[in-house]
Amino acid sequence: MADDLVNITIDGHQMAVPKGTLLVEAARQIGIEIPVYCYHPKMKPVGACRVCLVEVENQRRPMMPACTTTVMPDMVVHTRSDNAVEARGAVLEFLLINHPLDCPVCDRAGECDLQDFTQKYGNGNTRFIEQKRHFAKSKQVGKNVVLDRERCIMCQRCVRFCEEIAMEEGLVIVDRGNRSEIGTFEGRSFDSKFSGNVIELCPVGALTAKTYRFESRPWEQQHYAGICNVSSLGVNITVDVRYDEVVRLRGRMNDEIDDGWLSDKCRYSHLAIHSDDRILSPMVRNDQGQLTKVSWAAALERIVQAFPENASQIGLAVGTRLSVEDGHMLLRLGRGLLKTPNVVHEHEAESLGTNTTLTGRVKGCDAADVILCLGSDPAKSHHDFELRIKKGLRNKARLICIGEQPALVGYADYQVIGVASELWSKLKKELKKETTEEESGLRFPKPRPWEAGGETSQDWDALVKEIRGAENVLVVVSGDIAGQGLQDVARDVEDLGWNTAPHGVIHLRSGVNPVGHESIGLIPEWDEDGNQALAKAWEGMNTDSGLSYAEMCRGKTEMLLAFGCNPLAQPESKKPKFLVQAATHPDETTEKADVVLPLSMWVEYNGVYISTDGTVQFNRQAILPLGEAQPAWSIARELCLRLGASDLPENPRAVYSEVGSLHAALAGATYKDFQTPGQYHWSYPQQADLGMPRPDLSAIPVKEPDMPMWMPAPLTGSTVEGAGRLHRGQTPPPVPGQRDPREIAKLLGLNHPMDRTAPPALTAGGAEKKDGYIPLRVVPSTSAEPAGPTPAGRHHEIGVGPRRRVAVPVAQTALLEASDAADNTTEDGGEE
Amino acid sequence: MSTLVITELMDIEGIDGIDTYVKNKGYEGLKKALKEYTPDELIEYVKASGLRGRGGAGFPTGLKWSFVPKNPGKPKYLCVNCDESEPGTCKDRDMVTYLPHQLLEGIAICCYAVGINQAFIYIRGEMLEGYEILEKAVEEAVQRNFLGDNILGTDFSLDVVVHRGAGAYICGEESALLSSLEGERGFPRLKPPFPAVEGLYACPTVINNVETLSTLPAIMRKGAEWYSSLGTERSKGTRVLCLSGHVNKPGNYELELGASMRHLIEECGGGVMGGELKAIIPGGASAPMLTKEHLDVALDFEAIAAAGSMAGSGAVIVINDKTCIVKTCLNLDQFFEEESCGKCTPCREGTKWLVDILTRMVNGHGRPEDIDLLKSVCNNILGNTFCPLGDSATSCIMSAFKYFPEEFEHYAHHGCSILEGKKEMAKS
Ligand SMILES: Cc1cc2nc3c(=O)[nH]c(=O)nc-3n(C[C@H](O)[C@H](O)[C@H](O)COP(=O)(O)O)c2cc1C
Ligand code: SF4
Ligand code: SF4
Ligand code: FES
Repeated sequence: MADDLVNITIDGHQMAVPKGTLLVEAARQIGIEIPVYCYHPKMKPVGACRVCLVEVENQRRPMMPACTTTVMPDMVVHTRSDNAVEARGAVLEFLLINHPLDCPVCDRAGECDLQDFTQKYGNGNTRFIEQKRHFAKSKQVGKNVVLDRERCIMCQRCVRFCEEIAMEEGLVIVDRGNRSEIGTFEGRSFDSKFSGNVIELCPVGALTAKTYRFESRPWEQQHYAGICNVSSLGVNITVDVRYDEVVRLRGRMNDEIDDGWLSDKCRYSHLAIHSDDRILSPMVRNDQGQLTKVSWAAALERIVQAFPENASQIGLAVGTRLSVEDGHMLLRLGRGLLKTPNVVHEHEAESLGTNTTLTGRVKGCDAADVILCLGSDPAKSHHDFELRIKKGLRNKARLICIGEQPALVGYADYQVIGVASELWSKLKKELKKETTEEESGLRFPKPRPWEAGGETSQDWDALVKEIRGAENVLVVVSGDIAGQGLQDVARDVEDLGWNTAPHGVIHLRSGVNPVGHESIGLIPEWDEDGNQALAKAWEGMNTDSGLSYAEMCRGKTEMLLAFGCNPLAQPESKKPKFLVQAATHPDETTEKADVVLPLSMWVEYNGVYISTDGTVQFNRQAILPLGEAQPAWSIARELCLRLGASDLPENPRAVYSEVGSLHAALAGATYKDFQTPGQYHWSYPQQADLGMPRPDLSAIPVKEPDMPMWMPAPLTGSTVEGAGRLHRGQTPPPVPGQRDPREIAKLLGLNHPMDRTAPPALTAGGAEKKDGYIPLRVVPSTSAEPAGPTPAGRHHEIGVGPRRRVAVPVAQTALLEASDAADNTTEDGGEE
Repeated sequence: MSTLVITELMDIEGIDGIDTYVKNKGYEGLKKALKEYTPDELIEYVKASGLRGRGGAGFPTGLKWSFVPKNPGKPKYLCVNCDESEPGTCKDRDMVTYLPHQLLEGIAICCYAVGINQAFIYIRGEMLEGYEILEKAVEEAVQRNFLGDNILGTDFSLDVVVHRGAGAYICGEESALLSSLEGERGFPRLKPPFPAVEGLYACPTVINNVETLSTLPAIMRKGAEWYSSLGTERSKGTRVLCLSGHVNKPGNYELELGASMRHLIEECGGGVMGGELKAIIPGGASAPMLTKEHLDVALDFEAIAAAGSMAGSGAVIVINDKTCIVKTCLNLDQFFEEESCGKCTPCREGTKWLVDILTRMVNGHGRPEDIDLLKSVCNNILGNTFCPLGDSATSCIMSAFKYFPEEFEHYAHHGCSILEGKKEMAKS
């Protein structure tokens, strides 16, 4: 153990760090900041920008880049010696001489590493009187990526992302030396599935998103920790909100799932939130067959009256974009009160049943020897997973694609085209034969297909050998695997002895939260033994097996309530006698529905989602529900009330506690699982196996707060000055040798904006916010407050031109505050 | 007259053809190496000869070879650096055009010693003639079985590929050369890993200059002891010096290491042309200038270093007293600005800034504060760059400040060169 540690001294602090640690990382461990531009913890260091130069004693060249230098025994490093300070200042000066004075109009201002480091380490004046280098301003390099070459500092992060992480042709450096610029190959456009990541990676404002350009400034935003609502991977995101508008989504580093990357499909999914066609009020179809706006009360009344006598003629279909809480309340409505057996989620057909244990995890790609895509094509269905597979390939994994020709084939070492289930049985048989010695030994390096010159092999025998020599195998299946004849794959993999987490089978599910819905029983078969607590609590509930989703779509029930799904888009679908849909945007079902209810989108309410590999995660509400929209749990609750129920949970927190007390799969779960005081990260890896998610509360890792990606760790980047990156009430960490800005403010007799010891008192509800909660905006409600624009009103005054969104009445803002305050107290019985 | 080692055969008519070369003891060295030495013994032999690299850094050649792992389990490569782009340097070009087989023989000896079966000659793109000659020579050598499979009946095989560069000085830097050869952008790479361990295609790689390898046949023929008897204590043998600038007879001269600068300029070059001697750049554009005070400095690695410059690529540039030093610096730095690869900030931005300031001064718009500014910019580049190219860009200015500060002062205060006499500043 001691052999692997190296003693070094940084700025007089002695420390022992593992061999091979980079100096930047070692310094960070003891809270010493070394600025970086080109370095990024998820990419290979290049040592290009030179801003991280530190002085190392007894070296031929004493100024060494901290981002490429690994620790050596008894190294003595100075990050604040005269030489180090001079070199850092020099590099910043060099970067600035040709940098335009764009900050006032630059998207990045306020969260720009060039601004921040210049403030901290720069020289404060300019000696440059020559002509600056000029390029034509914005240049659109891709569908949504706009480049400003003048602002680029040539850190190559974007280029390296394309090459190393996405492993595809994308942005490149054109020309050389001082004339270098970022660009694409001639005549090509940068339209990668992952293009948005380079915008986030860019430490300056050179790469910007078309959807975000000139839309917002970081300091007007609040950041919320969310979960992607596009795929079932549970990618972690940061939802950035300007007043009441979600202006962008960013990655949020979670090494278990996403490594901080985000596919464009997810990154731009917020555009739907404020789109013009959002359904924002309840509607009922009138005699002329037209949908007309009505009040919530009228719409609900209409539904209650339409319930048929025979309960089994009612169907409830639940979309997988809905949260666990939504699902639970709908289950209560359906099985508990309406007493119908027909409550299922839309992708229930893919379910393997709760008895099947799958051990594969997203992060299983990292150490896999073989990744076997069995009839699945993550490149088409689960973009974010593609990046993880590529990470595995870079590590050591061989990619084998079996089935129809998948899009990932350009990266596959082996490919066999055919019917996946047939090929799988053949493979299975051959793998069960004894392994000979020569097969299990060394694997010879040969050029990989994605490196120049390599070829995808179709050699079956070589493929079998490859798998035999492998220790960790990750089998990737997706969608309806029973339909593909692969329903036994989990058992086969167990037979082959591959089922040790994180390897084994990973089942990439359609939709977002099917695993969550399955864990609370939204499938046709009802597991009576496993749900005894529920049966006791909901006396008289229906415990029969019900219809499948496909059957419901075919009009097997007289009445169908579709929450967040589109049954009439299914093949052979037929409108039932009475159709209710709660939807966010109009679709085929809306066209025929008798009652349409406005449904909240995922950023509009708190909720828990369980990812495809069983990670249970919390998604924080970021904005108020738009218009009259309501989350599904709340609509279900209203209907339950009208059916005579009482004592219903009043908010998602209470619903989730009820989930924890009634469902065996999530026994004991509460929102507290996701909260560690002072932290904003609410995700914990699931401890039990897939299908039976069961949180082990003792093992919740404490994660960093939502960390912007261009800030590799809390101490780098603008944690001090960039108010945009601090959450309200959070104190900036001290930086050695750095004057506290509040101290300076005090000397100047000013009130520093961050000098707030207590979080601002909230008006509505009177309750103070708990640590770890990002309070929603404060609403000036008493006359003692200075008369000024309210957040909602201000929106229109500040914004440029007409906005897409609907103004939210102030009263409702206050209401939400109240409910949120109640949210905090119900469960905890007060504040700690 | 100094002993000729490398250029001994150069004047023979038709020596670029294999027949003439073989008639003149060509490929004898290779035969001897294959017959009499094991690879390990050969490395020791080259170590004993004291041969040092001629590409710029002067690293002991035998030692470099010994760093290559013996059985790495993957191929090993030799890359011959013929990207000769250092201003003033023109020796490799002659060696390739006049004595291509001597180079190929040297390559074969090196590859046998290190256990390499694949060699690449990375030749500067502009040297089209050299490329064609080399291609032809490789063909001839393969026909005669001096290259190819089972060379001269042994089980040693060697394939040689000639690859043309695309016009970048930085691709002479060994790691950038590897990137370029692999088809990537010509950016230098991080070291470690060093090429000897992880070079071309992540395999162990030896990189040697053309002149270094061209010396090997003679060493093999005449003996390591004989070679090491030439030259000085630590700089053994001879080297080809490229004399250019204000001399009456510019050209390539092979001299024993330790010969003085005076000998080269006055005896070989026929003296300074068009005026008195003012400055000498002794090792290519990257080397700091020296003055006439240094005429008696010996042209070996140690003596030049002691005088405050470097032997570099062996290009000696002579500058007479009718030359403006500030303009000279501008000219040199324009080269470095043009050739900076742009990877690291200090070199990419700094070289441009230096050129901008010098251009402004030369155009008569200098300011007194520019003197300090120039020094400071040089200081900010020096030691902070990724590869030595950035540092090189500062050496002419730094040395010019040392020996000719008044020339910069004059531009700064009077807006014109000291050679034009004091003019009133044009600016009001
Ligand atoms: C910027 C730069 C340019 C270089 N250009 C050349 C060159 O054109 N030819 C060359 O032989 N070596 C050049 N070198 C030196 C090589 O990096 C390397 O040291 C040399 O090829 C090693 O060969 P040797 O050991 O035979 O000297 C250059 C180095 C630098 C830093
Ligand atoms: S565009 Fe941004 S990320 Fe790309 S090299 Fe320039 S500064 Fe770096
Ligand atoms: S010093 Fe830097 S920019 Fe200049 S050539 Fe070397 S790596 Fe490229
Ligand atoms: S050189 Fe170290 S961060 Fe760029």
